[in-house]
Parts: sequence; structure tokens; C-alpha cells
Amino acid sequence: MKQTLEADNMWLEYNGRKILQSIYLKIEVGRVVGLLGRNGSGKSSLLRMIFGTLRGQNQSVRVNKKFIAHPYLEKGLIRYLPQHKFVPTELKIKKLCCLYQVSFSEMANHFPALKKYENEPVDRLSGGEIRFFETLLILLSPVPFVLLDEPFTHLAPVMVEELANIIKAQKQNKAIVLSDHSFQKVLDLSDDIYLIVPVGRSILLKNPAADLKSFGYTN
Amino acid sequence: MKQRLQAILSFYFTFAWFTALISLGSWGIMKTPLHQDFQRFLPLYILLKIFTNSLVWYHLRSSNPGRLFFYSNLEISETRLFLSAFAIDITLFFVLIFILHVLF
Repeated sequence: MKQTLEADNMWLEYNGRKILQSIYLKIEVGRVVGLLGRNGSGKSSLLRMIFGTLRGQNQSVRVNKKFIAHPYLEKGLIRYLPQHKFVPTELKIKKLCCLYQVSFSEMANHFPALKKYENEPVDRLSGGEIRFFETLLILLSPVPFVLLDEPFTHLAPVMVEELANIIKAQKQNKAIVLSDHSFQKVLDLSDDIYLIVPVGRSILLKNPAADLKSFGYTN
Repeated sequence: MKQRLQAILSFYFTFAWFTALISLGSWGIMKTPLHQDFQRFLPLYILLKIFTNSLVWYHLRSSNPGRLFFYSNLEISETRLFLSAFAIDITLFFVLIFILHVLF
């Protein structure tokens, strides 16, 4: 049976302002789920609530129908790529791979420029390279559920293409949630697309290109 | 488990110089108490550590909140991360005092 993660009853308010209120999202190993929405629509908050580090007024995350209060504390279950830099840049690349149980050689196969930095700290890489390294660190992790928040930001086109290929390959044994403003790339890679619309509702799109236009996400 | 312990240690070493300075500085200011004198110094030391480690927690949380996701991805909650690091900090100081206690 394929592992599934369902999130619903996600209710989040800041100072009385509703961010999320009517959300249902299902992800399944073997599929990529795209998450789209305008700036400030609550995509990142939703990902953090699913991960378990952000507590809303209410939330329910179930893995294989079993409720889990803090998914990130479950051993080998889920990893999350936040929008901003998160790795300690003073640590060596090989050490980080070891901590995340990611094979350095597998990573270097996807990112050949990394080979010469194996025993160097992360801050020797450029901004785009650090982002690519962080994304691979999450994507190649030995977990069934992966949440990627803006993985294509700061990446050169050649890295974007490589990352797209890795996502396609990794979805064979992972469920991947992909949120990014490069919506065409998200559409190309995703098996299901959810759109977050005001005020904090999720809609599973049946005809993504037409639905995105009708909801005013694209022109 | 091994990965988590290594991650907590690497986290502690990012601010160990500061907390060690506080421990050794306060001990030095109080004229390096040992034996019976150290027991009288202990309550003050614990209060000082609670205060300064709270400042460290606040500073690290507000200056680079994104970094906490590095540890969350290793199944380490924020509370566990900081409390473990502070426990290592205090334990190292007590080990040092114990060695000095045995030597002198």
C-alpha cells in the first residue's frame, strides 16, 4: 500500500486575520503535488503546519489515516525545504550529507561541481549553489514525504532543469509537495495541483491551466 | 540518534565560547571557589546561567530562525535543541570543576 499524508482542518489566524481556514490536501508516494497561490496566501505557513513546526488554531495531519501531532518529530517520516537558507554554512559539505544520511557520491552525480568541495564548508559555495545543495539534501533524504518551498528560487536554468529531472526520479519512492512561483515548472512536474485562494481555502484543480486563469492566478 | 547528537554538539559549538566565558568569568569573579565555597557559589551560577542562556536562546531564535529547520529536519524540536545544548554547557563546566576539585 502506498503511503499517504492528508492535511485538513488547517486553521491559522494572526491577530484575528485569517490566513488558512478550509484546507484539504492529500499527498501520496509516487506523486508530486503542486501548491500554488498568490504572495501571502499562506502556502509557506501551510507547509510548516504540515511539517509540524507551526501550530495553528487547529490542524490535522494524518499519515496512512493515523493522526500525527508533530510529523517532523517522527523518525524518518518527513523533511522540509524552507524558503530561506537553513544549513549551518560553517559545517563541511560531507558532514552535512552524513548528518542527513544522504550519499555524497549520489549528490555529486547530480551536482558534479560539488566534488571539489567535499571537505569544504558550505559557505565556499555561491548563493545559487547553496540553494541547490540544500534542495538536494532534502530531496535525496531517506524519507517518504518531502516538502519543497520555492526550490527553484536563485537557481540557474541548467540547475532548474537538473532539479526537475531529480524530482521526476525521486517521486518513484517519495511523495513530494512543490510550491514555487515558477508555476509553469510546477505544472509540468506535478500530478495534482492545489491552489490556495482567498481566504485560505484550497482547491484541487481539475484543469490547471484554465482554472488558474479563472481564479485570477494567471492572465 | 548519532546524527542528532552530532547536530546538537555542532549547534552548541556555535556559541560555546560565549557560554564558557560566562561560566569561567563568573567563577573567576567569585575568586575561583572550590569545595565548600563552590556549593555557596552554585545557586548564583545556576541563576546566571538561566539568565544568560535565555538571552542566547532569544538571540539565536530572532537572528536566524530559518536555521532551526536544519535541526527540525533531524527530528529535533527547538526546546530539545536548546535544553540539550545548555545541559552540555553546564556539564562541561561541572566536569572542569570536578577535575580541579580532585587536583587541589
